[in-house]
Amino acid sequence: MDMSTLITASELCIGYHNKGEHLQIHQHLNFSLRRGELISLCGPNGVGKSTLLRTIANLQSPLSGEIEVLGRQMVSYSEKELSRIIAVVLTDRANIGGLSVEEVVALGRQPYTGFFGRLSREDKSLVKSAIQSVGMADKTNRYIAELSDGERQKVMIAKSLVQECPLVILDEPTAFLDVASRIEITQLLHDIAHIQNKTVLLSTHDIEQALQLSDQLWLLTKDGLQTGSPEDLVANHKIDTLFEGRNVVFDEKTWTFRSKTRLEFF
Amino acid sequence: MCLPKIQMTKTLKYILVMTVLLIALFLCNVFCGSVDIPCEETFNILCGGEASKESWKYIILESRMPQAVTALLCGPALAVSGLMLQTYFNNQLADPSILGITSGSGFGVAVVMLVLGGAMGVGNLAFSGFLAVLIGAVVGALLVMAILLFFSTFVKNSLTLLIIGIMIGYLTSSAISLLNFFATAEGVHSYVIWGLGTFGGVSSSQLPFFSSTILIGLVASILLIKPLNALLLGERYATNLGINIRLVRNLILLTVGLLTACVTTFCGPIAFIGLAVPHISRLLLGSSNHTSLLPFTMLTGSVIALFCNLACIFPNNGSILPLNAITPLLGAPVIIYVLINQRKIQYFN
Repeated sequence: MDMSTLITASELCIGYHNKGEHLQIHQHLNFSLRRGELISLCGPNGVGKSTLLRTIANLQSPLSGEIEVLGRQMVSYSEKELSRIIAVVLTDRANIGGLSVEEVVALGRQPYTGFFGRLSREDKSLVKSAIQSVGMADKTNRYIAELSDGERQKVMIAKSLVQECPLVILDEPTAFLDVASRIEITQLLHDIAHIQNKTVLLSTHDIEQALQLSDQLWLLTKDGLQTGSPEDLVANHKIDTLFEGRNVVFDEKTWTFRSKTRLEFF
Repeated sequence: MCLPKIQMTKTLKYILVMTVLLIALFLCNVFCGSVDIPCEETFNILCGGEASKESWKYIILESRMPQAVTALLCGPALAVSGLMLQTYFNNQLADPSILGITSGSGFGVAVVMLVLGGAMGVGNLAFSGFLAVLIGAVVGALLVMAILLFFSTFVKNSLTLLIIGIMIGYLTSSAISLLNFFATAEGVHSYVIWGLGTFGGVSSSQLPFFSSTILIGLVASILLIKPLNALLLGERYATNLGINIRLVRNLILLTVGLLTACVTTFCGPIAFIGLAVPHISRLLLGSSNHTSLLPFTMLTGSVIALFCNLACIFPNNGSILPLNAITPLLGAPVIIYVLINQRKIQYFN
């Protein structure tokens, strides 16, 4: 077992159980996640990105196949054990308007605190430094309700940091954010991967930025999952498979997308 | 969890105010009633002395004291049930009576009473009898919650779920009415009286059993503070924080079932305390952190229940107002205020 490998999935089949029927979204997925890498999961809407992320985070079970976490089957872990290995930032709407920034980040310490969730001095200083590292120190005592979408996202990222997990999974962390917040958060996640040596797996629609910042790119289309470094995927002309049949083409020189029709005009 | 310092002192201030109110209202409940008893006589009786009238002693020790203690316990029981349901269903309008849990336990009571051949109302039952009634009530409450849970797996809209709860409440109410058809005239009469709600339904001999059941439920709710906080983030986040969601959900529903069933069995279907008190507490504390909110909700629940009980003797001519005529007067305006100010109140976002 390679020590740098966090998670290995083999012949994974993901989807939903519906009234006894299996609703398969993808099958025969094989991949692994290594320490200290930033991985971007890209794919068109409705292709099953969130389902894949939730399956890896053990928030829904795979229909078949195996996921190994640190050399052990995922099913053999308790919720408590996994909560110290995988932290998530989701798109779920939380009901936390009436909590302060500090209180929400402190929730991330729940896997470590005792029965009543009382924080030790170390817990408190961890919470403080996590809030600092996402640049929210001046808003520590603000209500979540008073924050912008980007700031809330930063708070949730800080929550995932104090969970002290080697793997952080984020479902569209930059969706609905303005350009400034988007760049800030992407940079933050990049630093988390490379400076704190955590594995960061995120889904995004911003493929151009994902190409520039990611160590690994996962392309999920209805035909399956393709993984590789951005350079390899571009060199092998894989990026175009993302939007097959659409009026978009990937320019391999500038690493940007443009419209096919415009190409014909000029 | 840590509270910011300013909020901490604010919390302490409100806890102090509520505690003073609680003691004052409790004493009012013992010293005031539909029969005029001089204060020094009451004091004398409470200290174990003799009263100048034997009936006064009986009134204080067998009626007012048990009633005050019942109110003291029912308030937190209902309020905490409401709070847990609001957090669990992520719905600010959830409460045992709106979601039909109260009528579910009422239905359980009705069925057991009919089987036992008695009339509705537990005032004159032996211990084994009302243990059976209580179990019936708990089963009824859990049944309604199981139905709600079933619907909540595929009804994602919380308003729709609320309306389903209201409909289940109507269904069980009409089932109770149908059961009444088979009951004696006396049974129907006592059912109607039960439906008006009163904190006077627990006799001093039943009080130990009633109190310990409620206390078990309240302690259980305190033990659920940590997972309740995690649940504010939603079920998936809570799972990711190491919470065994199925276990926690069952514990929440069991606790709510026990508390609601116990109160409903003895005191009737009391509305609005479970709905309004968590909101009053959140508004006062300015926080939805259960670490402070849940104990504070208990305190406020006691205060409100004692106040309502006091308001029942307001006519001061020997007659008593039904409890369910008082609680909406207090609760409904609070809910309307909360709904109108939804955008301004931070805990909605």
